[in-house]
Amino acid sequence: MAKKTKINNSQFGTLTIESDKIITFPLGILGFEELKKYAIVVFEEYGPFQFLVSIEDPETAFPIISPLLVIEKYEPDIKKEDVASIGDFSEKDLIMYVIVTIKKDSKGPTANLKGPIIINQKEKLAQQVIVDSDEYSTNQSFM
Amino acid sequence: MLVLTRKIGESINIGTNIKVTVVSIDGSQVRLGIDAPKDVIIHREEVYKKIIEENKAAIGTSKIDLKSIADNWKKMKNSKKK
Repeated sequence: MAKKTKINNSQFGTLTIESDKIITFPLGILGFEELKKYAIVVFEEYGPFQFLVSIEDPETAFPIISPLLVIEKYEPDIKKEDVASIGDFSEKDLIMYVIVTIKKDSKGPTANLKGPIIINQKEKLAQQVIVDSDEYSTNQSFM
Repeated sequence: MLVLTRKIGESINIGTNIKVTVVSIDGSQVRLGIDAPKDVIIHREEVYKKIIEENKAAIGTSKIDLKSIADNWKKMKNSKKK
């Protein structure tokens, strides 16, 4: 049986995370460099939104979504050297998310298409990458 | 801040494994080449700061707001199916 880790989040309550679901960000997430271990948590009631929850500080939870639910075509130019921290991979090992924000007093959510999260599912390693292009915005409105 | 004057093609070394070279100068624009180990992440400062700002805002996102958007999204999806 897989090992489990229990974490507590004030809004989600106690979450049980199977150890093989833990993803390591060797570089952390920008602004949160000290936190390296995360899990993607899915709740039916949040529909297309999922949460990237820190194992080390469970109050830190980033809402995330598939970029293809934000815009029809999302093909940022990311080179292998840009994601050196996620180890070896082939295209099919990768899954991509973007972080969602709803600012206070705003009408709807925005997604950060300039700082996607790239996960190498094979190695369970991930990195937030900065896309070096003006084509994508840090706060793209959607929905 | 340490300020150094360099010509095109000249470099500075930071520590033992980072090298910054002035590649070209065009008016007020300077192109820099950077050699650094893979685990050193290099960003343009303004973009880097913007991403940090967004990340910090993201964790403050209200779960109630997210849930109501998710509800609307589900309704829309269901009505499309019909």
